[in-house]
Amino acid sequence: MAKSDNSSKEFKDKRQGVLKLYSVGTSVILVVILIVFNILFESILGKYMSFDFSLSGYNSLQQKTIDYLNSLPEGTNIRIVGLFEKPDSYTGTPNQYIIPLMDSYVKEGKGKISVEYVDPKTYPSIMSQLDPQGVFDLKSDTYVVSDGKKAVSIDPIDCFTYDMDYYNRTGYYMPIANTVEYTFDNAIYRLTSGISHKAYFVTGLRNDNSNHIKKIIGSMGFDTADIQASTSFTVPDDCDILFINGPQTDIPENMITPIKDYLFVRNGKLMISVDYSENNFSEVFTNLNNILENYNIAVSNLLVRENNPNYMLSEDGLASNVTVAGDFAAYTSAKVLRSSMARSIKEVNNPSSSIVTSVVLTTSADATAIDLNSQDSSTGLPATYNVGMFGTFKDNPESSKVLVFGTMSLTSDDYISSFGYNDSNVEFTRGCIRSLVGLSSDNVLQVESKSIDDYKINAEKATSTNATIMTVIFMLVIPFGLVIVAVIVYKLRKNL
Amino acid sequence: MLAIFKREFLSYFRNPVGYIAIALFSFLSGYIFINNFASGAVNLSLEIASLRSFFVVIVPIITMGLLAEDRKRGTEILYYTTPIDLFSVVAGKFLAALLLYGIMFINVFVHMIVTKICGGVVGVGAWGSVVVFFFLAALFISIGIFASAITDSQIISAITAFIIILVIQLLSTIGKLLGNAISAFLSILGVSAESASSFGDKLESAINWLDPFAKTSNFRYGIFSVAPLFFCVSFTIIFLFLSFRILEKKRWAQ
Repeated sequence: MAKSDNSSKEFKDKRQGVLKLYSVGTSVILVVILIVFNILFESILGKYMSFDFSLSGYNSLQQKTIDYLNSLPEGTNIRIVGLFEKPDSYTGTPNQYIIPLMDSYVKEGKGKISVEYVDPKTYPSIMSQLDPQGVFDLKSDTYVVSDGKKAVSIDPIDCFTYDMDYYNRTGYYMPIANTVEYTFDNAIYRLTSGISHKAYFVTGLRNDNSNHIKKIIGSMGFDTADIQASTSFTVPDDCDILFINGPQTDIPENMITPIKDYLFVRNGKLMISVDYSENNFSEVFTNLNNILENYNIAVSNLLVRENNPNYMLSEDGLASNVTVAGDFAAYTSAKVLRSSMARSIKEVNNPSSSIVTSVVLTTSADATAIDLNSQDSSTGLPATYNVGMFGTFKDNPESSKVLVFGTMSLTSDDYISSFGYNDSNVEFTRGCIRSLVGLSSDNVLQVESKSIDDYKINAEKATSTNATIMTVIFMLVIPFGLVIVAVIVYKLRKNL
Repeated sequence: MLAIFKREFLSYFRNPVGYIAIALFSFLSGYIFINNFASGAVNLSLEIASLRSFFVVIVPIITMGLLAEDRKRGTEILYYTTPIDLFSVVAGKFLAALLLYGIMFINVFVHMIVTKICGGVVGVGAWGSVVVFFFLAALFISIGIFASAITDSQIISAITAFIIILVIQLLSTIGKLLGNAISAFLSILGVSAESASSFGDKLESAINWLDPFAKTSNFRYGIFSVAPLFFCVSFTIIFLFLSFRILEKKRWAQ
């Protein structure tokens, strides 16, 4: 009997052991198989089995970028470094549009682009590693695009365009478009294209900011810098194009000679944008015209008003469409461009037969012009007024070139931030700059900016009354109703 | 399996647990939604992502009794003595808990409808968050069932599930801390700073690889990937299988 009990116990122990071994064995095998399969799946198929359904595909690179990345030579090594610790959550921050896109750069870069996040507070050596000479102005919480020799710093807030009208009214920035891909593409392009142009912006004429136009030409391979309009004004030797953007006052007299030298001796390129504003309506721009008259061009003191309903964009006709004339039409896909508070740009007596002057932008034949400084501010006769003109020398493509716009709708921060980098006016501006400095359109990487998520709800429905009603329903009626039901169920069934 | 599923699902509504869980979920989701609504902008993907952090509370509530209660009452013997596939038992209970989660989620669908009526956007990111929510719910429910299978005490089961889910939710932080600690430790042992840091980073990456929240974070931005979902399904299967093995072992150990 005792023998039988012992053998039964032994059999049971043995069965227990086998069962335990079987359980542990099968579990371990399953865990290992699934983990290995997951690792293989993620590393081999993961990137192919990822789909971007986001609004405007903001997490994916556009085909132009992919083609560009593919065209980069083998051996290219672009390092994108976020100078911060990668956050666990970035919803509602600029990084919402940047960090997921970085994964696409790695994927499409096919080994040519790497992305990492290094917090300089934890690893201070990263700054000297990226910028040994300390010349690239790198800061924490920004991105750096580096090819090992040069670096471009990108602040996340610069990867968006903002509604400037909203900003002027409220003091808050309202992003309206996402230019993340545009900004990073062009940073890579600047490092890899080998194109090196320098653009200078004349400041100190109480002019507006030129941040957006600088970004745009930066994306075309230009480095930008400012030159102050001062008594010691000179145009630097490396200047490929000089901008006078939105002057509210005339240039000082001492600037005439250096600019003329730049144009006539060094075959310089000059681009001027000046409109009619409350700050400059009495300004005559005598010194500026002193230079421009050499190209048969003058900035007038006339405010252009459009009267043709097909061209008018505002009731008073001060905001209107303008037609792109002649060869310049090739620089934009739009037939007309927007303009507002335009100043008439006139032809003057041609000083030399070697000068060629062309009309760039014109109004309709029904436009009128007003001189607000004149005692007689009555409307002039209907005519076609020029809002943009171009002057150069005949038979010498390398000679100096001057482009003058009587509107700020091509280069101002206000306009570009409101209409974005895909706008026809911006496209046209790019074309003009390319033409001035002799850049082929093939040399420019142009990707579209993207719209961004807007979670706003109808303000008429987002009232405090509705919020209170919903608070009552969602946080009181439903939860407490369910708790009451729970209590009833408990009472009814506790003795079952 | 259908019978088990039906019995378990209805049992949620034959005792207060189901109602309390739904009430809790409704209150929390309502709180997040109304905060958004009052600010004039409703980002539903953010609301759903925030709700995922309440798994740690809700999952233990709805799973703690699934197997532990049977064992405590002794009714589990019925599973062992009838010719029933124990995996069907586990799967039926799992599906019942998942469906309860689906019922809870009706709250969020109502929020979606209200948002749409009020002119807001129910974007692809919100739907991505919904998909992830259910895959993560499945994963955590399977963990809850596993916790319930290893004990006959509902309290211990709930605490075990709570701890496991909490650890998973804190994986990225744990990874960071462990990575830094290991780097520092190796540096003290005389390993070069670069190697120590590299080892720390690798350890952190390895731990982060296990973090389902990090893996699925891009869904809320409209990026749908198969790999993170496959990961959730794999670990759901692992925990369900472990629960099944525990029951199976008990059946043959009787």
